[in-house]
Amino acid sequence: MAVEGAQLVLALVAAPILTGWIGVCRAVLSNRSPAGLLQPWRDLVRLFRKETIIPEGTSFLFRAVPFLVFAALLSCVLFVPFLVTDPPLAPVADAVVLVGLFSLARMLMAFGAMDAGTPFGDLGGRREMMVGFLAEPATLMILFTASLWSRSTSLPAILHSLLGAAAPFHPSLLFALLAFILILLAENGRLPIDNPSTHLELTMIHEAMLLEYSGPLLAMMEWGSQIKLLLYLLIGTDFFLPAGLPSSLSPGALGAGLLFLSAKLLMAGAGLALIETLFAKLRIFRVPEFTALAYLLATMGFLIHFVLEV
Amino acid sequence: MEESPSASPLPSMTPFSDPLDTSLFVLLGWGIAGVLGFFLLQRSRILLGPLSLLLAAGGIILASSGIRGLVRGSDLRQVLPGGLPGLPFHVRQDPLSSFFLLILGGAATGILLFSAGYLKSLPPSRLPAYFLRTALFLASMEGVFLADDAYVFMVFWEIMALVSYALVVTESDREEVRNAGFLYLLMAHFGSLLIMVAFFVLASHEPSGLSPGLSAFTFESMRTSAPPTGAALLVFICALLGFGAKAGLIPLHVWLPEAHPVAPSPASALLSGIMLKTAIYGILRVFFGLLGLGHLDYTWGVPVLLAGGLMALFGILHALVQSDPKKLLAYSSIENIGILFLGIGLAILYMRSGHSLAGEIALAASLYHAINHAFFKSLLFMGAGTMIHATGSHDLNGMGGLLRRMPVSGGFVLVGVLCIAGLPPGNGFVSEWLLLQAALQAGSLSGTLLRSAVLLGGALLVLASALAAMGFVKFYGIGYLGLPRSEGARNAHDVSAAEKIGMAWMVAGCLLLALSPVRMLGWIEQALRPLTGAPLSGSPSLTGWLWLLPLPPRGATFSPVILLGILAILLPLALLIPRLFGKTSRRQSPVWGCGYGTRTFRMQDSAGSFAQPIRHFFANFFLMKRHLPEPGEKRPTFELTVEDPHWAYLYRPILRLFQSLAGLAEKVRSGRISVYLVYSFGTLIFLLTVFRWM
Amino acid sequence: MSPPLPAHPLANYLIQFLGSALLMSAFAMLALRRMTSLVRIFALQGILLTLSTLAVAILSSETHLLFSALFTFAFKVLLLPAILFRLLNRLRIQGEVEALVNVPSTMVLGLAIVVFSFTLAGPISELASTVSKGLIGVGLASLLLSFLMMISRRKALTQVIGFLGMENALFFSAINATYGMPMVVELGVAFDVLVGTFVFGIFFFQIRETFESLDLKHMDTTSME
Repeated sequence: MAVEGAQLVLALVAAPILTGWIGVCRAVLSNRSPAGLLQPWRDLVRLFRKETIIPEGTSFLFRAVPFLVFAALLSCVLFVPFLVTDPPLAPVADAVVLVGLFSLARMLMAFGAMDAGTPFGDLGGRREMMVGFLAEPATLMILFTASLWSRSTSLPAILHSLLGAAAPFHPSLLFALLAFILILLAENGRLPIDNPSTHLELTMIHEAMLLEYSGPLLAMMEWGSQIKLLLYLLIGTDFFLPAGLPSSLSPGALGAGLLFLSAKLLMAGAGLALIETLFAKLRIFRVPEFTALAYLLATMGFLIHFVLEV
Repeated sequence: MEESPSASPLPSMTPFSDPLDTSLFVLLGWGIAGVLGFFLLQRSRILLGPLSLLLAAGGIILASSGIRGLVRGSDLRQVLPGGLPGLPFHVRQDPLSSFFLLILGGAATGILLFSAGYLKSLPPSRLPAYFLRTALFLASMEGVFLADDAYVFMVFWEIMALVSYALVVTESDREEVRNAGFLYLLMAHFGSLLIMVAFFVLASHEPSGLSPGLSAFTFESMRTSAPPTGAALLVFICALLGFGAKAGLIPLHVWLPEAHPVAPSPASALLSGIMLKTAIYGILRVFFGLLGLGHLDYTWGVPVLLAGGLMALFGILHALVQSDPKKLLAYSSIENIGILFLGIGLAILYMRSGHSLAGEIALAASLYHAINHAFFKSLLFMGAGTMIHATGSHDLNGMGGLLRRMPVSGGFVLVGVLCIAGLPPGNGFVSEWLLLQAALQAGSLSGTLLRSAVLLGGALLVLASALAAMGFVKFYGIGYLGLPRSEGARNAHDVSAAEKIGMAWMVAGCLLLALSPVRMLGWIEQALRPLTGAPLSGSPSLTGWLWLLPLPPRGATFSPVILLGILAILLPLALLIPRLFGKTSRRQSPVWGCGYGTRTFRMQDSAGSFAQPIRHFFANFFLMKRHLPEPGEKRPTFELTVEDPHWAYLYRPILRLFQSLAGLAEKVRSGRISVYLVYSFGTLIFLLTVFRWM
Repeated sequence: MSPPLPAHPLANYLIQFLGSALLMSAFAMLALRRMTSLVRIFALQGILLTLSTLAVAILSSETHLLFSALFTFAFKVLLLPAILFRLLNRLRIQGEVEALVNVPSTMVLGLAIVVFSFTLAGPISELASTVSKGLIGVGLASLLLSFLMMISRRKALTQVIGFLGMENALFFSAINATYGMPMVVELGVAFDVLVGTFVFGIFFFQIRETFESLDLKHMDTTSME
């Protein structure tokens, strides 16, 4: 129980801070003065204290969606190894289930957006599903490529096989890594695909879905998205930079692991901010091409494994 | 397959202790009830409710018989007097039949309960005939599952085809309905022909002297047949295409999206949810039962696998662009049958190249998906029926906002939508998960091409299931959410109690299938054991009822029950979080209208615009005709038609070919009898010459 | 035949890694639309080639490979990209690559080509020495992918880059299969490529003066007339 609780609390607390860190990095890179690490937290608290405005003509689904999405994403925290290599609940869900849960959250979000019955909601829902229909298969192909060494899609098994491998880095993982970065950007509404700092643009995706949400409901959605970003980065570090993850529960190992983890997340966040500063937003019809590239790269990683590594 | 006749248990004391007796009783009961209902309903339609309940009771009994057959693993057979002299009916209920009887009984029960309420709207003149057809349809499908010789099989198969044709043309006053029905009948006959060829080839390669005469057409003797590779390949192809025509195998699928939607909704549910599975049953029976695993080659799995993958992709892409909800569902059936084919292809490939465990998992996943599909597709067809009834429109663009007006049935449909999209913790996810686990064993195969084929199959599966999520967001988002798009949708009301009960039955089935996969896999294992000859090594009994562990010891695990438990704990926690920050008020307000004062339903996405990215990105899969308005036009119109390319590139050329051949034949037609007699005489002389000297 | 290399797992991994990176860059060329990115990717290929040549040189202690690496660096990382960038500037070719076949279809085709090359190279790889095992398939795939880019793009400059990419893939395969061709041949090829690029460059100016465009379809129509 202790580990599960710690995982939940850590993810809940750290997710907004990670988003804050990316914001800080972006601000520094573009010569603005940063708003601080805790800005997302301040935003969340402010939203939670606000009034909830329910658009007329919506059904109960509109009100239920933020909580369903939040619960689905939060449950993933329990299955991803990031404090220890074998979290007790990891056997409940393997990598495929994890992708399924992300997809569940995406579909529910689209429902919530479409329930408002506004042009923006529909547009957001449609675009989100458009990004998803190639991003989800690409994510699965990446997971499959990473699972080739362990012959199992269970995350701890993948982690052990990668930690125990003789080679520092597998060529097939090179493909998976590039695909993963593309997917990370696409799935979390980051810059070449979607602009996270916009609130009203014709090309927005994620924000368009949230347009009719307000107050605590919006806060749940935002928090959920922040947890999703954290989860993606955690899965990424598990696959591509697993070193330093403790397999025992001793306080020393846990502390060292936590230090490693924070360093890795800070690095990944800074890298993400760098990408976002360097790239301009893609035209919306280039998005399927972008995700298709990720999908095909991941598939090539799979093939490369059989040619070079077996 | 060597089962001794003594495999049947003790002689039955009561008629219901023996599953086969029970099943035959239901078969007979359905037939009698159908005829009875036909006459009773002509007098009074009040009896519709009780009569439907009677049929539904048959469904429950049949399902329980199937379950008992699976639990005991019993293999029962009987020879019934009847049919032609010297050609008695052979029937048999082995575990595979039991499994499909479970699908039939389980899904039919819900559909029949639903139709008790739904059919009230059917014109009174049509009701008796419709009832008779439904009952006969159910009975004939059961007959197909129970048949143990080619003769009985084909008799029931043809009855099924004819009765289902009659169901399709229930509303025969519409031209499109008649056309769809004709197309269906044509394809059904094409299929039957090929199936018969498959049976003939099998029968002709039986060891001589085993069973002389016509009785050689029993499945028992076909199992012993040892066809050479060429003949086995012929059987394989004929069975694949013959049953494929019924299952909607591309390019023989064109009838399916025409015929399934035009039938009344409960009939569509029967057609899509259950009848398609008879084709899968037939394929499994012929491939693994009659032909036998030993006569299959592993390379034959590759075309089945890739055909399945492409079918899944093609089906879901076309589902996405439909705006008739029932047509959308019919195309999605093609996708799901594609997934089943994919599993069967994987199974052949793995089993025949020495990886029997992975193969069995693929086959089990396929069967699992078959029963899942029976439940959620029936549920969704019922939902589509209620949508059409409530709004009076056959177009998603005439619906919208239905969840507010029909919260109960809308909620049920939501469950179906989440399940069919293959999302955890739904039942569709479990079968797709298993199939992916099997596909992931590609590494154990040898050869880049083979691995790539399996990999491609897996990739297509994943792509299709992600697209399915988008398709059903469209189905539900346009149909049930947002603002009502028509007067009918604005005035929609929720459905009758009987319809709710029918849908609730299906929802319960989906949940049971989602939450007890291990039990279900145990039954599937029973069904497959006689075909594959070995138990699943990751036998569920080893892993308890909670955990799914298909590939022990280090394979991936999944526990739907615990996952649902976790979600059930986290959801209330999430609901509590806003309370931590104090209580806030809540009010209703109009949505933000981009600065415009009015907000109309026309501002929402239409069914067509929602699918626009798909049409854009997968343009090669569609045949699109676009009419764009000219600048300065007084009444600008935009029109877009999307067509299945198979019509333009395959069927119409074939039609033209036939027409030109007919034109040629026309030339020899003079209309004078003496000339015709000359033709006959000439033919006779020619044939006699051929027989004498060739 | 060259003697088998001493097994050195780390260097092996490095070379395999570079090989996959080369394949990835060839694949990325199919997906990219900006001219300048194409040239940058080409320069990156040069760096990958230099590194892999160095690795093989150190492994096999064949000194001529060190010179090869040096030449590769000078030509393919510094000189040719510089010329290409200059061409881009002088010809004012900006913006996007024009594709004959749309990009996703090209990429799917590319994947099919990778499968094809790996299958084709399978039996050959079995015979090869430890280092090159599997890399033959990678080299072949990179070569065919570059060829695919030449076919599927419209602008003349993309064709030059595709051509250079093919040469890179060949060079990579040669280095790994046989520790490189004799120095003379390598130098010859390098100069050929260089001269070729110059000639292409001069041609471009001529073509543009005549047709006021670098689009290949204009040349098609002349040939038909």
